[in-house]
Amino acid sequence: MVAPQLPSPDVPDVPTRRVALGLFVIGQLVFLVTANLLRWVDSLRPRLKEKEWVKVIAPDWVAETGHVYDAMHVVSGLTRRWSQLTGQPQNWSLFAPVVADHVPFPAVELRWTAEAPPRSVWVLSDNEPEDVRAFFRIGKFRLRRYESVLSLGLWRGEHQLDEVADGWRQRIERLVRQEGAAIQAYCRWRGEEYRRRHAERPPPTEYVLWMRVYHTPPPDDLPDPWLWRGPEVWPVARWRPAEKPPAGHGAVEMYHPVARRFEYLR
Amino acid sequence: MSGTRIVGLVPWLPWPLNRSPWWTAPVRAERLAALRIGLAVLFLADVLLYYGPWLPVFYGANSLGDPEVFAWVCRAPRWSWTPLRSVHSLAVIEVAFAFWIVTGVGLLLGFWTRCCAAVSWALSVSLSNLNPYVENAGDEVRTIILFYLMLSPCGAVWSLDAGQGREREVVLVPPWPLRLLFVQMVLIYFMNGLYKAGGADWQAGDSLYYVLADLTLARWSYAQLPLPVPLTRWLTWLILGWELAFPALMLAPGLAGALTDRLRCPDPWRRGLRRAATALRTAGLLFGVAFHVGIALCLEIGMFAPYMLCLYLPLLPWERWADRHVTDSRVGCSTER
Repeated sequence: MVAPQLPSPDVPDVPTRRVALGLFVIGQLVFLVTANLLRWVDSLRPRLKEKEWVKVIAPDWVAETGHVYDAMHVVSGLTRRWSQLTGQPQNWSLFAPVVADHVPFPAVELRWTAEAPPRSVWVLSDNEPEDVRAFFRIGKFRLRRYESVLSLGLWRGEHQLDEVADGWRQRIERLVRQEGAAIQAYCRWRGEEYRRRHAERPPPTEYVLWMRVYHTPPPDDLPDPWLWRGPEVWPVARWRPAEKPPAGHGAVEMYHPVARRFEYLR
Repeated sequence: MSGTRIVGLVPWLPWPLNRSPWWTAPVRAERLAALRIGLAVLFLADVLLYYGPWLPVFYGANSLGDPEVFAWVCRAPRWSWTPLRSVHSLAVIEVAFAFWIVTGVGLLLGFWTRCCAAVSWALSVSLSNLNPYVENAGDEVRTIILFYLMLSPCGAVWSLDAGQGREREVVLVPPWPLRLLFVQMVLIYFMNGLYKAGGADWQAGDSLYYVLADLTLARWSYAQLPLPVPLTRWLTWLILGWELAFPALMLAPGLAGALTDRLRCPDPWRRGLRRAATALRTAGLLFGVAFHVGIALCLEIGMFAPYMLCLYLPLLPWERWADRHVTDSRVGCSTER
């Protein structure tokens, strides 16, 4: 196809600038493709590393060694940094690969040890519907995003607590280690919101983060009438502002579901 | 129309891009302007509705986005940045937000357009890094669009910058920003499809059921309006298939053209095949629009659907509307005389 005869552009035709812009366009194109594909290929490794044919074709890549793995690691690092610098993260996996059948809402219990009753008040998430059977939701999605980071879908269901407790312990520990500061900020904000409405109350002495978890019935076994099960309510973390944690430990304690007590994390 | 003008730097492109008219032939500036105006409208709605009322909750000292909570975001080896990193004062954040709104108005009106796009992009990145936990994929799409607007002549038409008295000129812009954004859009769908294809719920066709019944996301209770499971199952597979096929659907007209040229098909066949391929592409895009409207109606996930729909704006033939408008105004002038 022959391009139509076009007038000259308004911007002077400076070759250096045109070449620089061309290189940028090529770079962006390469970035978009490699950033997305490398991340996807990386996500396959845990599932593929047990496959015999993968061990034959790319043994080093599975073992995270060798030139191919190193090259991919370097390119991934470069694309990640460019995406961070320019605000172009490439994490396109909405509701994928799995969707949750356990739906958690965080709740904060405010406790006062030496005050007139009530000694304990529960502050539920603004996103948790008062009546799950009938609601209409608009707004608050940014708060929901924040809460989703602090949430764990701890659902016991028909199991005994002992059967699930160890798995829960690992998940709770990971959450508190990674998000201890965010949990603390969330608890503090919840306490301040409560005190804005109840100015006569002093600051709480303890904040306990709980999960209120609903279970969506599986599509092959729908109850009649249709309704979520739950909520099951489980503690996850505790923050006591006046307590000084042991040296080298974080301020937020995790709930240990095996020992059934709160513990500081080193 | 009295003349034609190209605005913006035309990049030097190597082979094979320099052989492709899709990458080289300038496009009407109205398409870029429509993207700019559409984004500005949504961006202002986002800032005023979804950020504004929550500022003291999300930003500043002792908030959910206390600088201590997100100190890790801008720490090496990450290259994330925000000049507001150590800002504890809510007043400073509020001033930054006021600037953000001003840049949104500037983008909408096309006043100091690229400067506004640049500041708006910088603030978008900065605020994302100040409290990343309140952001979602919609915000990422917004920042990406702003990134391209900042680098392109997006105020060439339909703007105060373009000035008066140039309505009779055809203004063209180099196509690269719109093409890169289109590649980005194709990758968004295709990568979503790839990740979903590996998920057991998507393969079983259960995903849409669980998403609609997700109490944290659903706009209304699934108990009030339960969709039949067979329907949600078929829709799940349809969405998965559409996302995976999106690149092929978009390439269909080009592939059909190349194929019929190579095979030297007779003209009626050639026209028929190209028409069918174009219809397929249009159907793929219309499905995308319906998909996002459906998401916006059923789920409260903020501005994700509107910002994604914004990516479709440059695909519409805005120049036809603009040309008709110019012709109409000429007719109006001659009638008055």
